[in-house]
Amino acid sequence: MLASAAATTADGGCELLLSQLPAAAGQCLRLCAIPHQFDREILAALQPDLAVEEREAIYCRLERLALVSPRGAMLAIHDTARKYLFNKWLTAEGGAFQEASERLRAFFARQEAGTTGQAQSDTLRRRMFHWIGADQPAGVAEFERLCRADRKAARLSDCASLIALVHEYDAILTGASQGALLYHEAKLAADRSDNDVAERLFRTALGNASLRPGLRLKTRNRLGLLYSSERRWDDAIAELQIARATTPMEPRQLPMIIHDLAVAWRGKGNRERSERLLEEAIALADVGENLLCLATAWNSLGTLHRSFRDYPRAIGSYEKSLSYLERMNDRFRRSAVYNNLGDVYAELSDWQKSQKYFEMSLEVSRAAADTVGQAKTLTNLMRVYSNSQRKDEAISAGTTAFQYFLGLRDEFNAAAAILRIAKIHRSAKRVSQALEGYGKAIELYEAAGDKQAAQDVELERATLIKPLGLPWWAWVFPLLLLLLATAIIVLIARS
Amino acid sequence: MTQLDRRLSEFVDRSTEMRRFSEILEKRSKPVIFVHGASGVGKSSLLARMIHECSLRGIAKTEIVWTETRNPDHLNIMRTVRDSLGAQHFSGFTALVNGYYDERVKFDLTVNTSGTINVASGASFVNATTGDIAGVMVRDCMFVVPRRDLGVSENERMLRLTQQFLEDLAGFTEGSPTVMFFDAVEKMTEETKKWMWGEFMNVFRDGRASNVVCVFLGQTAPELDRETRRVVEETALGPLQLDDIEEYLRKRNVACQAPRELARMILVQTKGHPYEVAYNVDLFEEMR
Repeated sequence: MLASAAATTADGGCELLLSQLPAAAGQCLRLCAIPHQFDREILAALQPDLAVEEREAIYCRLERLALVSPRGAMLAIHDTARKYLFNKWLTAEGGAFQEASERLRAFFARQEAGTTGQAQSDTLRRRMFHWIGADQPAGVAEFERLCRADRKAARLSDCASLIALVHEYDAILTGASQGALLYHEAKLAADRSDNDVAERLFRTALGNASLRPGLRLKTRNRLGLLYSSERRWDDAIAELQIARATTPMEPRQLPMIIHDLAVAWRGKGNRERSERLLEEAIALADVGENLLCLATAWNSLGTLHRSFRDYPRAIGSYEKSLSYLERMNDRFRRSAVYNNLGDVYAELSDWQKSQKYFEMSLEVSRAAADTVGQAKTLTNLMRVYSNSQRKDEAISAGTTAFQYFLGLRDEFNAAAAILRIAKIHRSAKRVSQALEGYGKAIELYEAAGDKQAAQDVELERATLIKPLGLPWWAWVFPLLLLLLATAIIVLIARS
Repeated sequence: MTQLDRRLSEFVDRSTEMRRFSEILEKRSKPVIFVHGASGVGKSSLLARMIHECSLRGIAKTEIVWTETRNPDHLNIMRTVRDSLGAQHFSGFTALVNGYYDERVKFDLTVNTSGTINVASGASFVNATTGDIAGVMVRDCMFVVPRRDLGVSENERMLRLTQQFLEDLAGFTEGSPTVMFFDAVEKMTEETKKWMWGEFMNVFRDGRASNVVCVFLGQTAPELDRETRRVVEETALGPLQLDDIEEYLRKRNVACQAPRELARMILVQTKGHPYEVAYNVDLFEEMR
């Protein structure tokens, strides 16, 4: 008996045990493997036709089994055994699994009505899981809805949980469901900056013949953006061009895709093509009154002109972008455009106007408690103050930026800020403060893993400790030689 | 008898782990314990035993469990710890949560109370008047929708909330030793893992929470940097021995004429794997 028992434990060990349990208890154990945890209420939902006393007796019997353990206030079947039983359900003939899943979906739908906050999220997730078992297309649609909501609220852990839950159905997922799952998994990988995984998953999704047309277009677009973020301009252009040619497409999507394509051409250095595409995106967005796309495209056009030092057109484009953002009452994006304008005026050495725009940007960031934005703008302001010979103000702005970056664990930008401060001290002949700044910058670059930058700062610091030029003794020898030669010439002349 | 009571009454072996746990509770030599072992090796039973030990000693405790349907992230973890240790000790953290998340969501609050609520018990007011005193504390809105009028990055929100939480935690634990249990940590997502070992552990690496012990239980050994390894005691759970199985049979009241022989047979078949041992005993009982 024990020998056969040990042989079955590899698949969870339940088959032999199930054969020994009374039929009703065995069926309950099988059904309880469909949800991840169960309690009396869930057992009642799964087996509504059983008499209450019989159900209670079975529940108590199951509770005593070694393969059932407490999980919080509920019970759970041991992982290996549950996986084994659940997979058996997936491949089982007949509609018993679908029926049980529908009962569980309805149970969690009822439960969800009385919950809020985290408890509601948990219940919705469980309802979604059983919905897939009951009605796959509807369940997967619910998965996509929940995934989008979690992503919008930056809850990446919840997205990962949802994806893992859908994967439990891998054995029976249709092509369309697999495509949707791949798309969301790839998006999560891209959000986590795991670009290799994201690229592989996007590519697999594109290879799925059943991928919905709308998702196919979004996948191409996202893949293009992923390549752009890696500065792989040719790959980005290839994907975005296919995306652009895709039909049918929602009218609002096309101008944004053309905009993304234009940005890739700008990255590749083709001004003419980029400009033409941006103008096309603007014209299309204008027809559709797509204000966000208009603001984005004008801002990108400004950046394009700026990169080719066409400052008057850059300023005009940025101002146009600002006018749309004002109409939308979007102050966060306005802050970014103020920064761009500040940069243009800095490049024109118009420190007064540059300062004005950076200060406008800083005001928005402060009101929004955006520390990253404040730190970046303060770094820009430090440059303006420094160039206007207002060294103390520059150091003050830089020190605040440095502290913000440190607080955000952004060692790289903190190092850059303190290095600038050190340089200002150096130019003001404050050697000890400059040395202290260089030292901190080296430490921070090392902590950020940028050894090259740390070495460069080390070299710069060395020039402050040991000024360039020959040591004093190197001058003595030629001087002595000169004196000797002069003495010899004088002696010869006298003789 | 509940499942938990039975689990505790049938608990065998793990005396080394329990002894070490008790030592750490008394001497705080290492603030973090990481117990790992394959599925079914007995982590949950050990956890139940450790929690029971804390109850016996009157030590405050909190438990976070990861499951397939519940995957607590940094915010859920901090909120759960706060709620189980007492929201009144984490007012700074709660204020920050409510500041970062949507406050414009309006809701009606119906409060059902039962039993006695003591408000301002033992307080005395001199030359002062009091208005209404609340007897119900709303911890936080429990809405996790970031405010749209703020431009705070997710990273910054996480850092600031963690800093405040750890400050509040250090304040609370100054006068009250606390044990935090984290079970099934192999199910943590990458983001939570990064936060746990990167940010949360700072309080232990810096020695700022000398009265807190954390116990992690997971299927695989953690990958820790040198600095963190300094504060973590790792324990790998092994199989049960013959004496342990015999003791288990006795605790389960398995009627058998030759318990030693039965234990030996089970050991040979199961190699001492606790889940398989328990399963075989179930089977033995069912067949009889």
